[in-house]
Amino acid sequence: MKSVSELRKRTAFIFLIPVTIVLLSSALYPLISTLYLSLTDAELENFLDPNYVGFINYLENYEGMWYGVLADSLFWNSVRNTIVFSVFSVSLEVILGISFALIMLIENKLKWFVRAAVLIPWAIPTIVSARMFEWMLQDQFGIFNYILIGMGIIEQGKAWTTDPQTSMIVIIIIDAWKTSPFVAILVYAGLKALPNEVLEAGKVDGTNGITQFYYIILPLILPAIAVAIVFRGLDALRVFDLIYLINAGSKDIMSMTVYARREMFEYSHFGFGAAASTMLTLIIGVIAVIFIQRTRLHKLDEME
Amino acid sequence: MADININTVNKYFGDVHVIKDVSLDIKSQSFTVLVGPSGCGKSTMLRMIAGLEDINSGTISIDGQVVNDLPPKQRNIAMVFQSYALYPHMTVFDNMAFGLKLEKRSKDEINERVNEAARILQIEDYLQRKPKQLSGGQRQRVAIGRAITRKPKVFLFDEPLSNLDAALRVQMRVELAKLHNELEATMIYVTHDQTEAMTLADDIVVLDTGIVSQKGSPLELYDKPNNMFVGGFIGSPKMNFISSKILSKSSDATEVDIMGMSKISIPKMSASSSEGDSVSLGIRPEHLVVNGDSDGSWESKVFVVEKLGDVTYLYLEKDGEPLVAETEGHSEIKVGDTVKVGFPAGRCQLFDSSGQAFK
Amino acid sequence: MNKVYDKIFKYSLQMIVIIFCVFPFYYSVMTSLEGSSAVFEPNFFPTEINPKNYNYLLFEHNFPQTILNSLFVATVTVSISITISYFAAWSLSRVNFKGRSMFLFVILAISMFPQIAVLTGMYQLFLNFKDFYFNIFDLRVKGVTSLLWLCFTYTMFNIPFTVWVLTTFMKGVPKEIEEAAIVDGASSFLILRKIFLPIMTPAIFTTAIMAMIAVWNEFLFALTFTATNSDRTITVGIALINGTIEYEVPWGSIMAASVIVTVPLVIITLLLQGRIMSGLTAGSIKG
Ligand SMILES: Nc1ncnc2c1ncn2[C@@H]1O[C@H](COP(=O)(O)OP(=O)(O)OP(=O)(O)O)[C@@H](O)[C@H]1O
Ligand SMILES: [Mg+2]
Repeated sequence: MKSVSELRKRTAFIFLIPVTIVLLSSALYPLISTLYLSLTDAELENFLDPNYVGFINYLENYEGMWYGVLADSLFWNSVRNTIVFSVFSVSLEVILGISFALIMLIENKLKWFVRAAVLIPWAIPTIVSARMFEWMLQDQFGIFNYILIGMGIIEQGKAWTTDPQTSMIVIIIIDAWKTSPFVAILVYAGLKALPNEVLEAGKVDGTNGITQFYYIILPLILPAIAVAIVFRGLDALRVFDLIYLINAGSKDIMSMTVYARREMFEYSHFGFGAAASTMLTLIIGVIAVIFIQRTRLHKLDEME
Repeated sequence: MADININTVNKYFGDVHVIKDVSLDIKSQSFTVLVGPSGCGKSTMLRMIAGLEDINSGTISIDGQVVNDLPPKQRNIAMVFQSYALYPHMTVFDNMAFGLKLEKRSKDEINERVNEAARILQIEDYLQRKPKQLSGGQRQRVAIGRAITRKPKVFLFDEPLSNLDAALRVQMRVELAKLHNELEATMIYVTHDQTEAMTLADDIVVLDTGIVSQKGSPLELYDKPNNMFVGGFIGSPKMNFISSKILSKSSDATEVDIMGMSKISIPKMSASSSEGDSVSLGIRPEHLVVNGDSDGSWESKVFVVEKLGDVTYLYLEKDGEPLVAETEGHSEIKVGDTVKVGFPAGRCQLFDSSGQAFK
Repeated sequence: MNKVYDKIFKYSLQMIVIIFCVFPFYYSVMTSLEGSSAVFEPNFFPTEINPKNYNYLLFEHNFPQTILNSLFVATVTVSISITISYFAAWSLSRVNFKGRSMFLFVILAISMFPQIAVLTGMYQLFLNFKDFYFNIFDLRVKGVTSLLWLCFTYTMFNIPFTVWVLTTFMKGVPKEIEEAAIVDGASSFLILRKIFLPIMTPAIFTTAIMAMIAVWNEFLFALTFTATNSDRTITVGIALINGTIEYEVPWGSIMAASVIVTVPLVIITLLLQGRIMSGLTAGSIKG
């Protein structure tokens, strides 16, 4: 029986074929072959035809010593860096994002400019924002040091991006600059979706701004914030560009992605690098599942 | 010729049984109105006839041909949606011509048919406008125009007038009636509006949670409802129901006892009933007699008076149950008055405890 | 009096946001316009306007080539992903079938995937692709191998996003419009072409712009799969701008390059402000 909805279903499946092919060939296949490569001794010379070696890229005890990704302190260091980076940058972005969103709500002549300005950091490539900040924070000629010296706070220019004490803070700030607008836009959309009465209600019963925000508005935009946190959090966990550009070799800021890529393309340890990236995928997967369960994001998917 | 025969049709949405063993015969060129409470499955019925929704079992035939597996375009139907569903990017002309173009009609024929439809619906001046440049009433005309250009044998209307204001609705209603006469097509029409149902329909079908409660001419349904549901659903304000008990049965009447009143004999019978059964006595507001002669009566306080000009509605009570009575437009009765309310036995309906009507 | 303070307070908050967001960009525009000596004097307003950095990039450097490369990759990728996603979006927003939610969930999951997770496998595939490609085509077109490969990988990482956003947008079109067209006798393909396409044009355009920006800004794959000066894209190009003298970073040129790649984005973004906001929102929360 070929009913109308059967026909529609068939058309739908045909229309989904290209997407499926692209996703299978360019996501699933490389994912699986990465998994496989992580179990091989792939190096530059035998990359196309490596030997299966089991789990030694992950962990191996050889003559009483532990080897492998899981035994590499630099790897765990990069895990720590990534988590520190993600937690702080996302927190900062959420705080800034909510503040921006509230400021975007102000109705006056500057409204258009605020909304326009907020989109600029979002549109700028990460690499460009990294370079811009690097330049502003440059030790000898950077405007930031110039201002601080002018204000008498420091005597001599400081190399903010390379100093181990400040480099993590710097990348968190650059990331926050670039992506709090994204959070702001989501929260702003959430706020706009609220009925006007909600925003007006507080004014009538005379609650002050902060109380009103905390007790009335915040609970209502919590879903939008949750979505922003999930998206930003998962994005932050795979951070690469910013850290690679600011200081690819520094172990103070090295992220998991930078670590894995370095193993592959600088040391040509493709098997080992694949193991590192598989670990990264696992860690992100676990965090993602927890996030998504917690925020009930999977429920958003239900139709109508 | 386009009879529509619906034979024991069932429809499920997931686990929800929405249409239950519905059988209906719709005569060619008749105007059938589907009514029923919200969510009872009216739109679903219409969409199944249109072919927009599959049916799980049973058959639907148009003109003797089973159309279960035919796509909408091969069923020779047209549908008019409540939300108009005009193509927003096309002009009125193109909206009406779209179906014809798909049928690969010649340019001349398309022009002729669209202009003809536009003339009938008086939208000739708007043919080059986009839908958003039209008022609600004009859009609705375009939606109807789009249906008639294709000269279908069956028209399906899903609450087409419900987005219009009252005056426009009356006007469009009259035009639809004219259109039905002119086009000689079968029309099936879903509405919530009692007046539309009563005035337009050759037959009214009352649906109750996926079951056909009754089908018949408007007056048949009004005068002889099959059950309490139809009795209560058709007519506005609603039929009043008073609980009572059967005292005795005779060959052509049933004698009932209503609290606080002398026994009364209603000329209705039901074989399955017996003495002592509880029954509901139904009487329409316009049949209640206020301060006049009747077969039984009681006294009630007046709680609310609604003066509509031609009639006045009095909100009364009977042993704590609310009740509405209709009386003449320029009634002197005021809130707080006590009136004598009575009813003529010949106008009463009786329903047994399962809601079935006595004949 | 209170009102005046309130106004001033609000304006200052807005100014803080504007300066915070715009200053780094402003500052790099300013730096890029200064000659070599002025660059190394920190100041808030340009002391001179000198096109030297731009001249260098546009006429003595292979920067124009990287722009063309990026444009090529972005155009190819976005056209393919939008076309594929448009049809998929119809299936996912308009047709009820078992596994639809699952499909959408997988799409969402892939969009959250770390790119590094596929990088090794992708690189192996790339080497095979190169072999295969070199065997078929002659040397003249070898230069575009990496770019074609980038198109392929970018299509993958764009598709989850474009499918998701277009699905959300398509859900916003009333289903009765499609049903009216079905009753009028249109096939699904025809409906997509004649009914949805005109209605969805703005949404498709917005999605395309956003996908384009994503491609334009991508770095990890570009860095991995391009190896020569002739096949670099702009992000890698900027990352690799070096001074002639070691240890002296050519900040003027870097800033000029940054400005060149950013200005079009900023202009597009400002022009399409409202649309991009709704697109971003559709990409994450659904309607
Ligand atoms: N696509 C669907 N999926 C699941 N359930 C549906 C779907 N369409 C309708 N229903 C359910 O089927 C029942 C009948 O719906 P239908 O739209 O036919 O009602 P209706 O009589 O037209 O109501 P209304 O007067 O409000 O338009 C309702 O309970 C509705 O919730
Ligand atoms: Mg309905």
